[in-house]
Amino acid sequence: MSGAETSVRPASTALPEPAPDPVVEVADLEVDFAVRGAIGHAVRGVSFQIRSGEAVGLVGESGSGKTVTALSLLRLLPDRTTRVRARSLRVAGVDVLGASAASLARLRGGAAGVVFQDPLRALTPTRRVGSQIVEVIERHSGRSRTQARLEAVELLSRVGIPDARNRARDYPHQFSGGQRQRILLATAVASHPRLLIADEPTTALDVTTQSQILDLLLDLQQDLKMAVLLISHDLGVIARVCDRVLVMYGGRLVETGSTSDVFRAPGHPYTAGLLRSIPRLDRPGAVTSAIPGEAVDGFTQVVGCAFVPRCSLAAPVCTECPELEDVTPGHQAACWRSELVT
Amino acid sequence: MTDSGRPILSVQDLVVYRGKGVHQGNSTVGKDALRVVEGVSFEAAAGETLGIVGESGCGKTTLVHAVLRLIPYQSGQVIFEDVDLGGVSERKLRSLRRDLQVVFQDPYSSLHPRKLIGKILSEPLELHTDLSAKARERAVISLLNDVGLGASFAQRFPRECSGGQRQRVAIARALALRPKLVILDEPVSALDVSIRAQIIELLAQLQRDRGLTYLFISHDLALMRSFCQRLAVMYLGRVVEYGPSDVILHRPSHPYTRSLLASMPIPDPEVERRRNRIEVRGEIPSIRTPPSGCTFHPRCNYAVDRCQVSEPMLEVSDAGVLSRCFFSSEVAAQPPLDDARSSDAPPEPVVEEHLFERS
Ligand SMILES: Nc1ncnc2c1ncn2[C@@H]1O[C@H](COP(=O)(O)OP(=O)(O)OP(=O)(O)O)[C@@H](O)[C@H]1O
Ligand SMILES: Nc1ncnc2c1ncn2[C@@H]1O[C@H](COP(=O)(O)OP(=O)(O)OP(=O)(O)O)[C@@H](O)[C@H]1O
Ligand code: SF4
Ligand code: SF4
Ligand SMILES: [Mg+2]
Ligand SMILES: [Mg+2]
Repeated sequence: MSGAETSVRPASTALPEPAPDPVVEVADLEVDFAVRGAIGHAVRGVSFQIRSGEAVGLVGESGSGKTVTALSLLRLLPDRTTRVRARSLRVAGVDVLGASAASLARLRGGAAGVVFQDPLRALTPTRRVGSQIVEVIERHSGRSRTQARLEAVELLSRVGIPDARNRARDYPHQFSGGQRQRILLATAVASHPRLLIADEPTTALDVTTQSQILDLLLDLQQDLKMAVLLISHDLGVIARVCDRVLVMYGGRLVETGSTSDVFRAPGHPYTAGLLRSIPRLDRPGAVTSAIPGEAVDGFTQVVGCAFVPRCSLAAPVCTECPELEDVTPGHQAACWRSELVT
Repeated sequence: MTDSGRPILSVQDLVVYRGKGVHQGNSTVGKDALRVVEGVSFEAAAGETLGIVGESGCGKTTLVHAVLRLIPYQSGQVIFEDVDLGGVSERKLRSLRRDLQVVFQDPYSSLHPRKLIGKILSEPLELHTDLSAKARERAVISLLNDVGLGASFAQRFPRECSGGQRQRVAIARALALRPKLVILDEPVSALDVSIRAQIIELLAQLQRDRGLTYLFISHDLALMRSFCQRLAVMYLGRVVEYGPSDVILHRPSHPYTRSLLASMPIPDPEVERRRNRIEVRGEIPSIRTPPSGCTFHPRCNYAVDRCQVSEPMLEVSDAGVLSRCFFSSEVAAQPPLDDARSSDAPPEPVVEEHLFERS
């Protein structure tokens, strides 16, 4: 069972004072899209909180709604084709759904830094990367230009850009895929945000660079007491960085809990399958199996548990949609038969 | 290297610069240009998968873009099916590209934003085949299904898709014309394990059925071991290890490859915490001012004085692979790394231990 000694990362168990207000508070988030006549439900009834100094991982299949969930936290989805609703959606004290355009703009790139999955979203192709970071620093710290420049170069070299002083003068297209991703991270933390949303921040990176970036992320998180929402399909990355993990399937949360509980004794068949299907270098002979069957996305009509067509435990009861329920204290799964999951 | 099959692609001593003033075949380049790829050679036999791994920024994308002649190279040779790509006209190149497809690293900028996905996939069929409109439509749907997307995706724009969905559209497009060689630049890194497994199965099946050859860039070493027959490990623009992937990934002959293997995260919090990481330390050197001697020496655990002054050549190690290290056979003699749980793990984990390890 969970406890201080089995927690993955000691940081949050050692939180000194009574826990502060959550930096992120989401209750019953629903996101719908209109696509040429059809309505798709990308996110359905998602609720979670992230406290400062806490790193939460968001995992799930391609198309399960991870990016959409993260983008709705800052209202970054296209307004015309999207409907975002929630019982409550608060980020760094801002009521995101009720906020004015001005306070949303302050939030983005201010109290909340984002590393987008799509690198083009954040870097302006026609501006030198150094000045893009300098601008963020100036805007949020009021430092002098010279000071901000020094800081920007320092950040670039901390994310592993060699020869940072010279390369700060280059444009985004002059960097490799992984370098651009790291420049995004530098930009996202330049404002010393209270919340960092990082959507697949290390996918384009080799293992050694990835490892350095994760170390940096952990350092920054502890220095700045940042709340972190880390989206990754790499469960190794989640294991390394996150205190808690949220598992999404077909737009819903299907499992939440401390990283060690969820990884050691998953309560949802999807999570269990996910853990089984990773090739691991530390277990050369181990069989890795893909989860059979087709993924669902928001445009698929589902009745009951969305995992039914792919679930080996499916039973008649599963035609009703399961809610998140405690497997053990602090560890929840949305599955009628979670006690049978191995 | 002895080849069972005939090489379909052969790259010899390729040198590629990036930056201002770089033109095809020019020996002189602008003073700001960077020598990004430094004499790379490899061969891919028909029907096999050659993997390329290496640190972010080491020149993998530059290398394959030069192979495709999307950017110029300064010297060396690229031979595809007995044709020297360096000498062919733009027109001939375009017709060759039908057999030589690519999935770019960034699925966001490589798909036309204002075209429906159905259009993106049927366009190459329109240009290069005489399929009827109906047949093209069927082909598009079957391509979408192959990569795990429903027919409804034909009616979507790229921006209406998730990252992994876009990546799969890019893969479907590359396979549409039944090419002979496909260059895949981090094709599955944006995909979760399950869909990744599906895509890999698809690629493997096409390889069995049609003898497709892949040039596969990925940082997922576990995947590389199972999917690639041969592997080239790059460091700072050079190949530092080259040979059968199961040998290299089990018993590396180069210190850089060894440290790559050692820093792979393992999806188990307990193991992760207990592992004794022997990572590559120190800063990534700049290609503008590469270190002297063996360019890996500032970060190498095995380095001796000699490594700072003289440059090792690619030579056969005791493990039977090519390695660019004076001590390749000593490195290959080290115990295998793949059981991270055994030897390296200290017995009793202390809770804060991994925090200290990182400093
Ligand atoms: N702008 C949009 N219009 C319509 N549908 C969209 C839009 N953006 C996303 N979707 C759909 O919503 C669902 C969730 O997408 P999302 O980007 O959140 O997936 P994800 O979990 O981040 O996947 P990945 O791991 O592939 O990035 C997908 O089915 C996607 O096709
Ligand atoms: N247009 C350019 N001008 C100047 N330098 C460039 C340009 N494109 C790439 N570079 C530099 O060349 C080096 C190699 O880049 P490349 O994109 O080939 O790396 P990569 O191995 O593919 O890395 P990644 O794994 O991050 O994608 C990098 O240091 C990069 O900054
Ligand atoms: S509720 Fe039923 S179908 Fe859904 S995951 Fe649990 S056992 Fe499987
Ligand atoms: S030649 Fe020397 S520095 Fe280079 S990899 Fe071998 S031991 Fe290390
Ligand atoms: Mg996404
Ligand atoms: Mg690249």
